[in-house]
Amino acid sequence: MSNEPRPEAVPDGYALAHEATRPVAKAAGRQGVASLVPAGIRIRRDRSGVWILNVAILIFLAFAAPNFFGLGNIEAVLNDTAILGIGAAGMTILIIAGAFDLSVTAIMGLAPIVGLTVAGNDSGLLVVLISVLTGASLGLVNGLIVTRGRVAPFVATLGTLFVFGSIGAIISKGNAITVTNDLLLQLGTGDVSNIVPYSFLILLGACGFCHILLRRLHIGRWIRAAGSNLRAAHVSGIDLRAIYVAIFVLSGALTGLAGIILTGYLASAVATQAPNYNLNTIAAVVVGGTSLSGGEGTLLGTVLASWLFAVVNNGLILLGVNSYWQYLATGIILVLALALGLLGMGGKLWPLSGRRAQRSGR
Amino acid sequence: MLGAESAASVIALIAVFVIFTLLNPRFLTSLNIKGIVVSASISTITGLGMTLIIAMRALDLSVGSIMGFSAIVAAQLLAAGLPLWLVIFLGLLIGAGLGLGNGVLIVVLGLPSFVATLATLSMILGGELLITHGETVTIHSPEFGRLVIGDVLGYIPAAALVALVVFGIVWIVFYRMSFGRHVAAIGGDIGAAIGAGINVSRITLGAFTLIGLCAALSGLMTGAELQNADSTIGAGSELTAIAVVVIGGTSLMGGRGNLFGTVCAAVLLASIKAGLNVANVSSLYEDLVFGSILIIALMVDGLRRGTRRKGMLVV
Repeated sequence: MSNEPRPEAVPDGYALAHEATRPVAKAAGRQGVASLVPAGIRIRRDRSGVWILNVAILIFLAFAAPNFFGLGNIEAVLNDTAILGIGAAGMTILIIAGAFDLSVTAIMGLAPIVGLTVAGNDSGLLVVLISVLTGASLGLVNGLIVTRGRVAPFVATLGTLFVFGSIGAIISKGNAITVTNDLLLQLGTGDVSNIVPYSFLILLGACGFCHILLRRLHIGRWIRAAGSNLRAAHVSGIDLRAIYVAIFVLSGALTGLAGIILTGYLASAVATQAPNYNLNTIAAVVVGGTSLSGGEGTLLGTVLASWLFAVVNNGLILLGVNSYWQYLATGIILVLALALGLLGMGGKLWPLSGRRAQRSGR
Repeated sequence: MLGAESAASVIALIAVFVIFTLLNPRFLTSLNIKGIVVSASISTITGLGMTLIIAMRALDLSVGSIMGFSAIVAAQLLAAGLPLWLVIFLGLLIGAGLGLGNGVLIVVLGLPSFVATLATLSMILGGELLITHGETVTIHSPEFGRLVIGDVLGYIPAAALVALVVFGIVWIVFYRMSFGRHVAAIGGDIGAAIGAGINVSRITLGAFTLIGLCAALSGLMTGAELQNADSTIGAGSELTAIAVVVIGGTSLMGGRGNLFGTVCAAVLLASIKAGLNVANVSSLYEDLVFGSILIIALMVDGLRRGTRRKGMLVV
């Protein structure tokens, strides 16, 4: 992903003080599974799990379900990837900053409902705009509760999860709002030359934007600094309140966008249209190699993980397996990706070193 | 034992009772109070386990799935004709086993508890659906139901006694045994805990087994009360349980746990839910009130602490 020279191992605390410095493996040499990869290809250690699983599952599907690689099917998988990935992109930035947003499930439902209630089915563009703005303002509420109300993000957004979800149900009276607008339907199901759905292009745009934000702008360095050591970031004069409000707004806006795409895909808006979206996006972010303790993570990993979840769910359907296996598969992927990530780092699984034991807290 | 946070919970509880009684005197009927006590008892039991886990600076997201799984297995075993005591024993054993499984994932693979239990949340839910095929399993066992909603000593629902016993056990484990001190020590500063020679792996396994047991008991009680079991039992209750613990005054930062606060918060939320019902408010508004209480309670707490430590963001 980057051609700039890798610095030598640096002390942990120093890693964020310099833009060129990336969180790197302490040991310079390749260890574990990573040593099998040719020297020219560089795979970040945290992401080795998601790469291995992606390759393994695609090879398996090539033999077990050849129709997986049909054009229509790939499009469906890309669409699923996009709906999960757009929200997960915002969640990636939040988790890198050491925050969480559990309320995305509710924003996914509420934003399109507000959009459709205010603008109706006449102007698709207006509905999209209002949905994104609603998502952004809900994110603003989250951000203000966290920064001005001094509530930890986990519980603050847990509270707003209930509040936003309830407001969505109240506005829609618990019913579904039907979508007839052509632009909205196209947004959810349309594609370019039968392969790439519009939603996937939006995902690429969103992730590109987040990547630039995180890696090429000052705010990205501040975000990573906040996630890596809050107190140090505060002492060094970073305006943490502004940062947290900004990333909650960004995450809310992206979630609102994902919500209206899902609404277009389903051709109706329901307050509970994306159950478990909060936990699924967090799972995608974690499988993509972003550390829950904050400070490090990448958008590429998140996209790969979203694709992995979409492929597995789609593959299970193609194999004619009972859809209930999806839940088991999600859990197994989560454990496997993280365990493989550890092996790829050359780490051993047992016994724990002191540092690993420390990390296992949360 | 009655700290500032607990006092606040008790005052809030009294205020809620007064307000709802003024709104509608039917709030104080014995049937309504009994409903509050049963539902509060069930959420208290999971909440007590969660208090220990949060005091250890960990989280368990799989409690909802464990609740559903144990209820479903119990329903299946009852239908197969096993005696009630054996079914309850096996249901609890399964909960403890699943909790231990969480602990093993955390200790052996070194996964953060959030991720490990997120994975098992999904896996156990998948297991539930594969067993039931998404259908409801009925429980035809009045004596099982009486163990939860039956009256003891005239007025008190049996569920309250069960919750009281669990509270007593968890209280002794947490405040009077070295295990509880070690749990709090790990939550306070895991590095210092390791340095002090605490066996972090053993304590982690123990704490997760305990919450698995608590969750299974809640699940069995829910199944017994409803006289049926399906995968919706416990769905989402992991987040509710965390909310109850946090409203009860236990910080997610770990190191301390307020068991009495958790009980108060569970009773508070159950009475608000019943009160809204009696006051004829649509159930769509329930979550609105619940979420607002969570946010307001924490904002008041945060601002109170903020006056002492100005300038530092609480994240």
